[in-house]
Amino acid sequence: MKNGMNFFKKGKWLFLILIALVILPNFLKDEPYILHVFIMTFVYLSLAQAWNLIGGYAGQISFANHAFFAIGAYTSTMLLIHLNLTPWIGLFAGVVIAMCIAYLLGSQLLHLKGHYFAVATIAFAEILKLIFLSWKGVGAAYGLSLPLKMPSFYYLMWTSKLPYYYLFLIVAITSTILIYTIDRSKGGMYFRSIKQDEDGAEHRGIDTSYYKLLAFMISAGICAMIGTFYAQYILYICPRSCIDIMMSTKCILIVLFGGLGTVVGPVLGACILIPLGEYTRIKLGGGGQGWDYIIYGILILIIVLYRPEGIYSILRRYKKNVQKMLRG
Amino acid sequence: MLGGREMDLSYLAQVIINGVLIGGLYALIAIGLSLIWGVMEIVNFAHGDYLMAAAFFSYIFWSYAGLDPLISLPLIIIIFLSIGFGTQKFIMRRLMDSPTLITIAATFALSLIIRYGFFIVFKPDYRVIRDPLLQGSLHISSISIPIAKIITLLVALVTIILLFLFLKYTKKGKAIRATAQDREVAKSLGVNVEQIFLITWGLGIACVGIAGTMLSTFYYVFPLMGVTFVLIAFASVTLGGFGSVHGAVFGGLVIGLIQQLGGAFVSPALKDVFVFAVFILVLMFKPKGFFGKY
Repeated sequence: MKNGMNFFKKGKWLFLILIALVILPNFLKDEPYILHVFIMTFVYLSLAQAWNLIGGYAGQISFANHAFFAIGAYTSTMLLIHLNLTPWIGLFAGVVIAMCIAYLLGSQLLHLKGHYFAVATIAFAEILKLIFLSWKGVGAAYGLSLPLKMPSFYYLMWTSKLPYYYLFLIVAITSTILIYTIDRSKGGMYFRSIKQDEDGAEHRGIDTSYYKLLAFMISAGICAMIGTFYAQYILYICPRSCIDIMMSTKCILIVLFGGLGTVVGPVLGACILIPLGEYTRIKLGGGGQGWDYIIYGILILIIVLYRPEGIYSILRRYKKNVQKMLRG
Repeated sequence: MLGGREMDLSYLAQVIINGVLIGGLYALIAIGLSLIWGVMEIVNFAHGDYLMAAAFFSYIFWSYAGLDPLISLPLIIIIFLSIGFGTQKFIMRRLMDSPTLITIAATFALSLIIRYGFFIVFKPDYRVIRDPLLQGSLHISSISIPIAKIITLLVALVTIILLFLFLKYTKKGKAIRATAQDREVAKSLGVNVEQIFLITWGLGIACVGIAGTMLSTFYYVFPLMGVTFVLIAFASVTLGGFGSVHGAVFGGLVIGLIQQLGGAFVSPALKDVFVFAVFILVLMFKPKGFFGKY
């Protein structure tokens, strides 16, 4: 009964926030920049959730998020340019390709421990970037501009930012719900046990390599999906902006900042760090480039040194105190 | 006029010499990374940015004090020794027992702060040290070898040999190797592990300081230069096996050769693809590298 009450309370807050997020942009129609900040927050929130699955739950430090993101972006864009296919089919193709590559890569590399897996994924992403930079078929270093179509749901193209806002809001909510479901499922428990003690999990009869591979593939699929949507939003993709290791780094920083292996952590992290980064950039103008990264760096250093569980743990402790006070 | 065959041979010789010259520098960069990796099981993602910082220090000494990189080298070694001590004392010491992700995040945060600190102060421009002491090239028939690169290779060799002798024969060096093998046993045998970590960070960063200074004599200096070098250093360390001096030398040379040969005979744009491909293959089939830990 008490649990039910708690859930209702929690649910009420969530519901209010959601309503606000749905209504809010209608007042921001003339503020495309603020809408853009919201959209980028949703993009990074979803990417961070994808990383949270492989890194936060399964404990495998991957730096390949941006590579799968780029695979999704490039696949749907190539299909749209050459076959005039709707990005929805491109999305599906991108996700399938990303998951296949994740399968091949993961089955070869996931047995590596800690640092080794991290540096191997960096090498993989870097290879992809170098190939795309010199591959004429995908625009090489010039990148690809998406052909402009009639604004429609079918082509996932609109003239205003508002539909994109709702699209990315839905993506962010969906990925968070997905992580929540996994968190509560048996699979989530297996992922956590692999992270805590891989050999122990193996001895208990958990097929660790299967579950690590599963987490890696789902994570890659989510990234590819966001890649397609992102390409449709920005309408221009190039290796230097899409296959940028800073994207994976930001995801990791967001998850660490918010709270590793929690559903709420990445949400908190993205909602604080991304607007903060964007804000410093506009405040300081073009010359302020770089300040956002310095602020990220300092925040992460502080979090890592003083509260490696992330800021969600602070909120949780605070919440307990408040509840105690309320109960008297 | 040279015949086609002779031409090819001298071209090949040129490419191999380039590979060995750049490989020596890679070895010097890798050795610091390898030392820290081997002794503390920390992968320093900020390694490339320490390299960049060293190149910038050398540039600053040149442009504001008129000191040639060769003259400011001892100064930079001392500065970077202290920076290494500082990194361990103020940051990494608190993270010694943290999980891998936390140490990776900490060094990544350091990397961001160093890289974009220089980025903001010096802007993303490419800079060059003009008229250094080391200029010109040696010419042997049609092969030309820049003198700066020869000296860099020599400095790298001397540093590596000194480091090797230090680890092999001095008491502190032996303590470092013991700590790398088993921290707990070393501690129980009376090794001051904290001090060993301090020395390791100092030495590792000093090595990359030397590498950065030498690099600045023949390469552009710019804030984002660390990114490529850190990946190449990872590849060299993994190839040779972390924590091993001759492993890092072997790794650096092999990576230098692969990069130059691939760039010359397949495609210059894809030269680093070969490096990373070899790197992934080594990780797949021989994750401990070709030389073990010490």
